[in-house]
Amino acid sequence: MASKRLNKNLKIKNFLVPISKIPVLYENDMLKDALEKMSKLKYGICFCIKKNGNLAGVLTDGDVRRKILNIQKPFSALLGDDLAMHTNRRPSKAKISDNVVKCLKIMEKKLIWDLPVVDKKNKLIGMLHLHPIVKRLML
Amino acid sequence: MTISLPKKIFSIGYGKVNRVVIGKFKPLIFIGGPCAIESLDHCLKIGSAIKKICKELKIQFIFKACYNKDCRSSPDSFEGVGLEKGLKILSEVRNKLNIPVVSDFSIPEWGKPTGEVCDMVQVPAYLCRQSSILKSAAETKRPILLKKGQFMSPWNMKNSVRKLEAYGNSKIILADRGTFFGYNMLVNDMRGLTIMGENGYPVCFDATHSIQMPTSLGNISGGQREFIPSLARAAAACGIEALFMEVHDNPSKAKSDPNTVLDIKDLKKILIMTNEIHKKRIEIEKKYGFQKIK
Repeated sequence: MASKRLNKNLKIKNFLVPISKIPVLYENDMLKDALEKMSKLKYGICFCIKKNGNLAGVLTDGDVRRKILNIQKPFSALLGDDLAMHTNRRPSKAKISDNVVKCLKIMEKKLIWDLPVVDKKNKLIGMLHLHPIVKRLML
Repeated sequence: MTISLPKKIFSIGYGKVNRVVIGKFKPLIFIGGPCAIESLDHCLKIGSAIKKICKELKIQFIFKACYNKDCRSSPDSFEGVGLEKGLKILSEVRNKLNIPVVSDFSIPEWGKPTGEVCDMVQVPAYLCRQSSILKSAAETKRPILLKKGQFMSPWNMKNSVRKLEAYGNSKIILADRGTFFGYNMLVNDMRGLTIMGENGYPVCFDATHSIQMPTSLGNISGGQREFIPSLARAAAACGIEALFMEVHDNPSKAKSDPNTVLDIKDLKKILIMTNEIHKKRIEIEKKYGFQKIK
């Protein structure tokens, strides 16, 4: 397992992608806006937050792919939907105090490469992305 | 669609009129009147006749009539009695009959005076996405009857709702009055009532405009009145908070929409049946819950 090659004391903050550089939207923003933001920032995930900044859910490229097959409504209706209607409201997430190895194990187990990072009160503070960790492993 | 919200409850009416309460599980509201204001006497005649029927059936009533008909097909058609005279008549109607009144407006500047008199303001279907009209309606602080344009999808009405909210008004009723099906023809997509209801506001079904055949007679609209009862019943079963119908004592002589206004002699039976279904729908939903299938 790749996680065995990492220093167990490595903290998330060393790899944290700050909130300013990830797709973050509010619950009532439209799905279309989320897709545009994901494309602009080149991530396959976006984060849905409540007005107080707390994490409300996530939406991934895979979620959208499955929805296109399962939801038969017209695109004009789907794209205008509130983002919160389509997010995974119980996503895997990491706390800022967690160590990277623990997060990597979650990623390996769930076959995902992004994790929202929250503080003690569930406020979104950034994202843990697999690529920088892989880069570190290759050094 | 919006995250599914429970339908908001609010009252309509100010001053001494009999206020009506609209919202989830509330008694049916009937919004009706003669399309265009023809005269004070005519409005009082129609208004008092509908009031009597509604009182007997325990249906809440809001009187509707317009002072200006801005979307006529022909320059020869009756355009209304005008702002000043019209609002004076509406004011008399609400004072004499003690009922709330609603009227639409098609010029932003008319929103303020309309809201000063009327208990609710109506945004015309053709203008349902015009920011200037929506802003003016919102600024009246009165509840707003927002008609879905015949050209609009029910899910896109969310944008007009969001505009009204952004302009500071969240007392909104969304009304369906049919959707264009090719040229000169409207159809009703009952899914629209559910879809618009997802915005968290009460919905209304406009039965007499729904059977309209826009400008089908060359320079005037036709209509198929025979479908009014079945469509009203279907809408009540689907789930509405208000039913809208234009009513006249002599439809063929009506100055506006003569081919779609309902003869007042047919009103009571439609209201009885629609109200029975409305009550039953509430009873069923209370007993079994609203069935949400994903």
